Amino acid sequence: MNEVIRRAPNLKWTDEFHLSHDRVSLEDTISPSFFARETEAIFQRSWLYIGRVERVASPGAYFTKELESLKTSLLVTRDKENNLRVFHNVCPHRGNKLVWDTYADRETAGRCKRFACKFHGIGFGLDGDVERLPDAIAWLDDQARDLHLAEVPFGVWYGFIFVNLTPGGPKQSLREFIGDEYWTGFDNFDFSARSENYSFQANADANWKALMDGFSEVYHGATTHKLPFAIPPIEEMAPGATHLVDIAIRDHHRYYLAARHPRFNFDYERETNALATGPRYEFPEGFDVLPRAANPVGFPNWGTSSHMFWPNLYIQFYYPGWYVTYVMQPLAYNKMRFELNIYMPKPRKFSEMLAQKSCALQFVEAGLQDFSLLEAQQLGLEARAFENYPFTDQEVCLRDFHEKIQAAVTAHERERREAEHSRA
Amino acid sequence: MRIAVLARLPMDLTNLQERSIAKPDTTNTPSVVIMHLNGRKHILKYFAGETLLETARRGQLPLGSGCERGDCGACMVSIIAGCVRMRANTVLSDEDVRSGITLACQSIPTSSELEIDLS
Repeated sequence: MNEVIRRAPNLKWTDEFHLSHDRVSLEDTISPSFFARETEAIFQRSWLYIGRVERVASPGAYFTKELESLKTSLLVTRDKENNLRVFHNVCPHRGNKLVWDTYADRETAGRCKRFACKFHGIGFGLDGDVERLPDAIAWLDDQARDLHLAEVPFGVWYGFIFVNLTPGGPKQSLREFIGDEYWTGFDNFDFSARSENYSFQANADANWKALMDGFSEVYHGATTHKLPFAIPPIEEMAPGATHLVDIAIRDHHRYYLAARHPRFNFDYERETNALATGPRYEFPEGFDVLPRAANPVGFPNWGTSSHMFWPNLYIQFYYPGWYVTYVMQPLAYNKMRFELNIYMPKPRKFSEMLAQKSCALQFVEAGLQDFSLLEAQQLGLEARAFENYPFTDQEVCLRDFHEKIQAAVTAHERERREAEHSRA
Repeated sequence: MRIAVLARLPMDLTNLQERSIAKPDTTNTPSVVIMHLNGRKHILKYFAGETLLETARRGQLPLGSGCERGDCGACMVSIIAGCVRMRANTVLSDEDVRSGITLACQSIPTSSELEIDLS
């Protein structure tokens, strides 16, 4: 585990992290063959975030999660004993997809007492055991007794559910994967209390890493988000005004902190004040406290901090006391699904609800501004007019990310070759 | 092109007439079903023979469903007032049913008034 590194005065972040100044190849973003390699090396072998525990708050609640690049559908539920369960969403009788509504390839959620296969009607309890077996007399030997939904290794950290689909089982625990710095870094922040959830999804003809990159720096805001936030031209700001205040690279995860900008923030406090219906917004008690890892340097003019968890999850904190998750779900080398979830405290009155909705809509709008550039970027990169690209010092997180993607693929392939060699 | 395809379709209406559907018994059929969802009251016209799931769908209310055979319970709703008959049920216990829970996909109203809670 790396120590959190703070930049010495007059030094570039890139140098602090001992990264090269070389131009960066983005072939990993436009190559179909690399997509197959990273799917096997990274997504098939990493802890992957699939959703929050509040979605399965009580026994019988369930949701399905599609991981298209892994050709995997997961069924997440809570059994009668209140235990969280994650299964492959597949009937063990004939391999039919078990839970879906109307469209077999889409996610669904709900509450039930049992999962019934649409093919032969076999019913599975919330614990995955067979509860109902039509035509029991036709089954051979003890094969019906052995029927059970296939469990998937999972772990929960601050209510974030992660699964690991590594063949043969996970090679590291979720705690090892998250790392010591983060494992307790969000103490004192009650994620479950931010239960007002605004959810948004969109698909794009672009590689998933393009949007990971897009959110890995903030100085694009002065251009991409100039409107509707009335951000002045970057030349009119103090030098470095749009730069990241703090950056840390923690093993495979990354974090940055950005200062609060008077024009470009998402304060629903401000929204509340703008509405004639309510008084000045006041924090619910205890909601104005930031977790340690969100502001590890105690920066006074804290605006946001973004935490990039390997490989495709962002957790981002915003003032005052709300957070966002982004998941960049890979679908193909040039296709992805953007899953944006905003979590706010339950509004206590109508004016707060209006303020939150207005804030959430603005946030989604800004997300779409980033999102709308993706397909242009993918097309531009695929033109292969340039072999590599000059990342600035503000793009140090992207530089580290692409380096680690390449390293993970190379390491996995080397291990595989060695394993094949030793078997031979 | 579409017209040409349609013209080739077998149009044997005799078979259709033979499978005419029996008229539903409307003695104890409500004219509307009241459905509560997230604090709002929806009054939906009820057509004899419909299940409550079909009525909710026609009213574009987001009621979850699963197997639609009475085996999973994904469409459980609570009866506030009135009676229903379930065509099939392998999942709800007698206690569930006594407490007013029913399966929307299998429930046909049997009272002249019916009010249910979807949430």
